[in-house]
Amino acid sequence: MNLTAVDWTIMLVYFAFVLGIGVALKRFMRTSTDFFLAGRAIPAWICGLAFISANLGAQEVIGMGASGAKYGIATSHFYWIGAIPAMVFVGLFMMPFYYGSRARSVPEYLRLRFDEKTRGLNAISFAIMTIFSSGISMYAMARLIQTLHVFDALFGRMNLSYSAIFDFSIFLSALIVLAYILLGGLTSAIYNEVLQFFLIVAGFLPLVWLGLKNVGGWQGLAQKLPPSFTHSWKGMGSPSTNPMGVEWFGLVAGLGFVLSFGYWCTDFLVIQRAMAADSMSAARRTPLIAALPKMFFPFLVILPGLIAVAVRPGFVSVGLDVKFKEPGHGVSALSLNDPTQHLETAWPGKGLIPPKLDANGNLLLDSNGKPLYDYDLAIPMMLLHYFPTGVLGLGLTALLASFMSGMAGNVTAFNTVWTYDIYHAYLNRDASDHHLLWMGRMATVFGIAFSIAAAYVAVKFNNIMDMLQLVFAFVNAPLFATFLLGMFWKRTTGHAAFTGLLTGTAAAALHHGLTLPSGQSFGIKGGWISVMHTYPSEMAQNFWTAIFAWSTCFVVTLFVSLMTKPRDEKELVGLVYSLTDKPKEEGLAWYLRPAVLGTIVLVLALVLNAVFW
Amino acid sequence: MNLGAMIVACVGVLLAAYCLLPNWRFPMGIDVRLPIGAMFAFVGLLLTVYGAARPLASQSVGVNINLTWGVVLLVFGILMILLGRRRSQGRSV
Repeated sequence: MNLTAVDWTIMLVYFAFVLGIGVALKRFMRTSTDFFLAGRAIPAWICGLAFISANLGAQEVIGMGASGAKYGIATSHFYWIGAIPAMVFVGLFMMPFYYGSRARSVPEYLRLRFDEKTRGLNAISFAIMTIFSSGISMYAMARLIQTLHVFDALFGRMNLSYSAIFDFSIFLSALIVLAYILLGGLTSAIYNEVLQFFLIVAGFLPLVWLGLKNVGGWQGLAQKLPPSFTHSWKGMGSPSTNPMGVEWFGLVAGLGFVLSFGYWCTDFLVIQRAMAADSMSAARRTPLIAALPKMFFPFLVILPGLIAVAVRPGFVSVGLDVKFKEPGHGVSALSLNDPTQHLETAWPGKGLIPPKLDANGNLLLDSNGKPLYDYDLAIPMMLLHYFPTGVLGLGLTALLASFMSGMAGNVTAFNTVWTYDIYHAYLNRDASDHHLLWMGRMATVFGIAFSIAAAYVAVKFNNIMDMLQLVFAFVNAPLFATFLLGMFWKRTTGHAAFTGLLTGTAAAALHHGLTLPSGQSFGIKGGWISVMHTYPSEMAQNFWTAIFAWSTCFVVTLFVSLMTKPRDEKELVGLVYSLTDKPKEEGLAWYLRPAVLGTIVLVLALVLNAVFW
Repeated sequence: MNLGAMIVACVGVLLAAYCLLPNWRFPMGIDVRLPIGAMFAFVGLLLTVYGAARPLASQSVGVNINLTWGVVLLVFGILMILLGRRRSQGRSV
């Protein structure tokens, strides 16, 4: 990648502002509430943008671009089915309990509603997962920086070894996130997330504009790509007729219901941003406000993936050197830095997507002898293809910003859960508020340290990303059943919640161990007990694992509740639907009422589904 | 990376400080629109000037994207600053 002074300046300016915001907010961090909950003083629109930005890590941006290149517009299901309904639900029906209970975290709500052991289980599993998640963000960012040769020219000029680039990227991102969270806590994270949101839009909007201009708009895309790519519901009747390999029921129930509600309704990373709102009404509106940009994000992150496979790289000036050995043709070297080289005949990629290469520069082939494509490079290749120096710096900064906002979200969630739900609850019950504030800062430091360790674990075991996805599904799917029963049925008991969570997770593991996606060998992909059933695709297996986990937890929780003694109803006021006053929304303009906003969001999502049917 | 870039970056930090300093008297400080506006105005200005000085359009489908997008960001940045200023001067938004 050839970056000039303009690109570097943009990047430096961004980092300067990110740190500057942290510095400016330091003097306001006086109590633990200030540090962990932003003093519960943030207006709804800021919370809303932070809500969506914390969720939008680079794995999402890169991953959605990759999925768009692989599956087409059907990837939008992850947004329009897999996010919007859940976001509306959590805003309208669950925020009153999260915010009204004055819980300072999701595990704390579980303690209030159920008992200590349920809270402990959730706190510990969440803390571990969120640190791993942060580490993987760091790893993914460092890998990308390495692949795109971002720092190569810089390191070359300073005579430093190229192998240090990976470590440098990890530590640079760690230090920056550490600095601004240590200084300004959640407020700093939230403000920076809003900044990152606008930056991501600023970086990707011109990309989509130029890309669409190049291919001839949506019509042009539809002509250049197979029909399944431009229709999201085409062939959803059966797994064999659509590229995702899953039928509509598995999609709606597995993704649309269990996995998406499991994430948006229970993951403290996003819920924390809504808890920081300045009023109940603001807290309820936060996920709804977030849902609006979320709905339109497919056009920013998925569309580039589609464009990437529709475009032929006849003329590129990218910084990748591709050597490959064509069977029977010997070694060919393609330096994609040479704009005069005509790539039409020699390029073994799919559109802009390069082929996967092994360590010697040979093409990696699948079991059918076809080359494997490195879909994760869809968005970076798009940036390199269309952006000259200048906006290239902006696009790259946007990408880095999205990685860092994901990391920061994980770290703030970790330091809160550690301090309130593990340290204060189990290790030091008599800690003063001042001590907790100090602990929060310490937790930020060792949280980042553990994340760095997790990033290096990912270097050793690159299955770790798949593993983490799995673990999230194992844990979040049953958790949603627990919350559903806990918030809407007063009879649910603590013993039931605890048992339900454990059996749900076990059921997920069991299901995973007994099934395998077609074409995969047993191991991390499943079937490690024995293969009883084969799914047409990994996604199908994923969705059905979630469905099994949720159902098991639901049923077990129900039965155990009926067999154990429930808590006194007086204790559950404000924690359960039937025992809580409905929030009143007088004095609010009609269009600001959560119910109205929620309906508007759902209708828009339906319209989008219809348009891209 | 050269001295010019470093100087420009320092100016950026100063700009940030200027926008942030007068608002420290507010509870939980700054209206977030101000640093956002400042950053985008600065980046927008940089891109506009660069796009005007060195037109590059061959890669970007014939559009001088630096100039065009630079102007858009500059306008956006200024708008955010104005919105943020109004709020910090006590008028309701």
